[in-house]
Amino acid sequence: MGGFGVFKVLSLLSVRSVLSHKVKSLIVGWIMLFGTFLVVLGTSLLDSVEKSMAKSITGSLAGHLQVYDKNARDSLALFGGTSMGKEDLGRIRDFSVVKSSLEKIDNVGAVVPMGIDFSVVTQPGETDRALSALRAAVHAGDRETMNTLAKQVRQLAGLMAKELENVAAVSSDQAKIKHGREVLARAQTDELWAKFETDPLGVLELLDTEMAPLSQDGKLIYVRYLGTDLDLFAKNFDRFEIVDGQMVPPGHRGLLFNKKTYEEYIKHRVAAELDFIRKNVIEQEKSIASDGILAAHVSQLPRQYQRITFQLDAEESKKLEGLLKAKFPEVTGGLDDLLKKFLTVDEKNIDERHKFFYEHIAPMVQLYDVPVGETLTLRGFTKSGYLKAVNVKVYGTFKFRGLERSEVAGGHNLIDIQTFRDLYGYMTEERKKELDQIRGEVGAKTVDRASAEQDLFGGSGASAESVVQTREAGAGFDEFKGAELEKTQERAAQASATTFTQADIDHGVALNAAVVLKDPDKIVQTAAAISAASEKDGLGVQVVDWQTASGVIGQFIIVVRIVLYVAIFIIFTVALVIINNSMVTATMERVTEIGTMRAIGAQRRFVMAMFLLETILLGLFAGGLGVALGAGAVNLLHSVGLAAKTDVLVFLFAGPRLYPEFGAHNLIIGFVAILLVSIASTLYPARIATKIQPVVAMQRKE
Amino acid sequence: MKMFLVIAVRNLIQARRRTLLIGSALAMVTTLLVMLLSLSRGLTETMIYSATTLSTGHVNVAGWYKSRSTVGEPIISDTATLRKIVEENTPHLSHVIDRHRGWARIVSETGSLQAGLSGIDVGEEQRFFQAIQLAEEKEYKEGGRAEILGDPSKLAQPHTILIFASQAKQLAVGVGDVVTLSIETYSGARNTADATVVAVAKDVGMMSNWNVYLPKQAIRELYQLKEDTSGAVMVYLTDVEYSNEVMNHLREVFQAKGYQVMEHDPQPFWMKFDTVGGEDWVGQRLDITTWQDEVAFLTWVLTALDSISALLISILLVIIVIGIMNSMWISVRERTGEVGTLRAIGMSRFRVLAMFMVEAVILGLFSTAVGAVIGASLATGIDLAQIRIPVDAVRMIMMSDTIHLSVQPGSLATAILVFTLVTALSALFPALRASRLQPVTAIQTVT
Repeated sequence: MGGFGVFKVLSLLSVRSVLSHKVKSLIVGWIMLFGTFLVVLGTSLLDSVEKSMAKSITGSLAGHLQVYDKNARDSLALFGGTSMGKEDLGRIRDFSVVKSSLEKIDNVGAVVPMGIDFSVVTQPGETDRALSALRAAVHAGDRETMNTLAKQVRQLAGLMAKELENVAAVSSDQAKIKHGREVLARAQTDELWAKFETDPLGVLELLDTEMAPLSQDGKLIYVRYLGTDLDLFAKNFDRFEIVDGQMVPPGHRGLLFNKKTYEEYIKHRVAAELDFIRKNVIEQEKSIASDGILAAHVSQLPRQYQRITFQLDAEESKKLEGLLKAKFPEVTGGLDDLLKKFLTVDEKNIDERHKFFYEHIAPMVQLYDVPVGETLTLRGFTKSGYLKAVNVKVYGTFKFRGLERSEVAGGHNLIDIQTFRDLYGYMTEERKKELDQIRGEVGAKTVDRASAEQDLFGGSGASAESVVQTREAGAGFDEFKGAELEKTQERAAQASATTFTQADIDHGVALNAAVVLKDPDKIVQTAAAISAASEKDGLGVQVVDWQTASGVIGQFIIVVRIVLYVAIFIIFTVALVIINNSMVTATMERVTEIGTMRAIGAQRRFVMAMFLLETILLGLFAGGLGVALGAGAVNLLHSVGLAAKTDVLVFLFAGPRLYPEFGAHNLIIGFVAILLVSIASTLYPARIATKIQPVVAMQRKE
Repeated sequence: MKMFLVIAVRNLIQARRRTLLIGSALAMVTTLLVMLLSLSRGLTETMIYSATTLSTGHVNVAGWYKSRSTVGEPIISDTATLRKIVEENTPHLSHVIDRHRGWARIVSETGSLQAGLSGIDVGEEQRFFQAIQLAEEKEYKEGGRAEILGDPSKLAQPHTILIFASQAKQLAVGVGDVVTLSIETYSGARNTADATVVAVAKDVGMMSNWNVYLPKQAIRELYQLKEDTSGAVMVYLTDVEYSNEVMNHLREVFQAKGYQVMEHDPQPFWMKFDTVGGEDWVGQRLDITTWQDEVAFLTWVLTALDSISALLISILLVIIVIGIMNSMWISVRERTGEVGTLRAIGMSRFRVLAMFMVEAVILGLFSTAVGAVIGASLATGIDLAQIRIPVDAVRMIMMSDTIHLSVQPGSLATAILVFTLVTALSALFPALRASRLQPVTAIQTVT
């Protein structure tokens, strides 16, 4: 018999055997099928997630590669690392040098300077607002408004006096309380307001410096931002899109809020809560009763009614009361009770309440704490802990397309890089010299108890440019520095009015830089080229890919991959044992058959080949079916889309739904893996079979 | 019964190969299940340990003080009375402490970080000091000595602070150095104070990055608070399992005594500023929570781990069930003659069924027991080896630098029981089939 003839016989024997041992074939085949299906589906899903996550990360913040200081103490984590402080990324001293060096490299499309930092924004409270309005009225000479506002300020003083008593119950600083009582009592006297008629500015000054600092209704907002060359950023990150307002004009200082941050943290609390509940109930179909946190939000909502009533004037209150009265005729109380009723929501009414709020109530209240177009004061700590303040205009909000709902991508707001540099503390050389000088004079490095104590009591609303300067003023121990606030704001305003040029942007400090490639597939080569360029030009930077640069979230996919591979490995090991078992028992049943074959001259090799071929045949069939089913399942998911249930998933899926796809390699891996497993599990039973002696077969009785 | 056992064991030994293969598959899956359960339990323990050491009692009687309706601060006043009520009314009580709470930026000459402040009274923090370990200088300072500097009992003195190794690294400070604390109040004021580092402790998982400890007085000064104020009364129980029960009980106790108690909101206190700030009351209200509430933002990890384990184990079970059924089928087929003979000499159907079932149960029990023992020893070994987790993300998810597995006798029993049951159930169908054989047909089919 020639080789082909043997093969033909073998094949026929195998097919016959596969068909005749139905139970064994069914069991082994089913396990093979299931295994292949799992591999194809699992790896396809994971690859798709990785691809979409790459889109999320590269298209929103990271670019394809990131460069930063070679000697950085921490590693770059654009989307947050493991520590709560500022990462120490070192710095790129002169960005222009890096830029010009890297731009020479073939595949480099653009180099975008960056720096991540966070600041605090203090929003003025009622008292501040009322006093500024009063000041404006005085300046405008508007008698009527002046009188109304004066009355309001006087009432506020009364309210603050009551609140001060609440503070007194827990405060240890009785001197301050005593002083506060005096100030507020004076602010309510007829005498003072009589004086206001003759000397409005003098009284206003007094109120600004003495009464305003006692107010406690300011709001702190933490803003995390990425400082960058905004135009370059917009051009190179294709997911970036302006939602409200406008892009910051070139050469201007400006802040763009991320729409997600803006909606969640800057928005009116009641509106944000209604959004939250509606999203959970309607979009994510959660049940209020079974979700503890959601239930807590729902039960707290009615008690937030004051956030609405505090912002209404008499006329608006009346209008809203009328509207709600018509809606809830059964409620007997006033506006407070009506609003409480209105804010008592459940699964059925949330959609309607949400709509009503935006239609009727939203226009009456300040829907966002920081409206687009307003200028706000960002206060940040420089790296060494000094306090800095910069005024910056909010030009608008933006989103990363497809990542609207993602918490991870929504955490970054954008700011021009000059403002970033001011806040981060890396300034121009002259500025640094100036600061060093002040530091030398005051001896700020060794802070003794006394001056710490002073800071303890002093430093009210003042957003001084740096602590150094606060301490300087602190020498005089001025208890309230309301007046200083004014001055600082003027100074900050000056700084923000100055425009800058492209050269200013480039010739300065950056913490890291995103490198956007023309051909993302050549990422490894380009990274090597950048390393070489850094070495050659003495740039002192290291280069990392987007996955490493993204921080923990980038590693997340590695973790999932490990989990999947370990799971598949375990499943295959168990499958191997089970297949093996089936095969062994099947072999035992075929002792006679094999013995007979051996007796009529079949070699051991022939028996072995027959067994292997049998398995391969079964593997081909079952594996093929598994691959087909797996591919079918991925295709089905592709047409339906996998919904991203949580915010992290939105980021990983690069959108609200994932449309997974499979590549040829997914199918091949699945197929090859199952063939290997089945061959491995056949070796032992096949070996048993080859050891069967013809005699044994003949001795057995049929 | 004894006869059944003998027959079953004899059969299992006779079909050695089959028994070994199926048994080892079963044992493997049991091993895996035991290890996964240990991992989940280990994670829970790490979480309880880190949380209750660092930031929460088993139950907390904390509260919010609102001087005006739009601002809330996490303060309780008249702490002594609250503590007394807790001490007198808590079942399963171990001990009670109270800590101040704050949030500050900590600044050194070269770095800064943001951390939660815990104001403690050294005299009552034995549990805390037992739980933490001081770090050797070289752990946070390059070229540092291999000795422990510092003395946590110095926290009794004013203007002192205890930090953790990774914080010390970030701030580049050691024992004896001075850091500046800076807090921001609602009126926009910024208060600062200096503190000398008197001890550097080893990290307690990821959570210790977010906490530093200083004398109560320091926090009172920073926030200008009276003597009798505090942040939370932390209640430690003899067993953490009582947490929920005790929380509900204390809730009733305080309500009965006329305190205003806030509704249960299962979130850490620092996530409540906004909601509390929007409510319409002023003055003091109590917020009673369990340790789980204070780490609610971490529990998703456990849920994820448990769901992945469940999925994996069920896939494996399906495969195993098929294997066992196949094996039993063959066993039944091979012994058709035997069964026929037994039936012919008067064995009832039920007994035939029982004979096969006993075989399956013995196989299941034995293999799962072996698997459970292997799993438990592996888990214990890995736990003792203190293997370092190489990936940052995993470290963060596990809240620990090393792999921690905890073997519970209960989980071993569960694994053995469940898998033996599954084995028995998958044998049921083939066994039923065997019991239905007619004596005649059975005998006729001679193998």
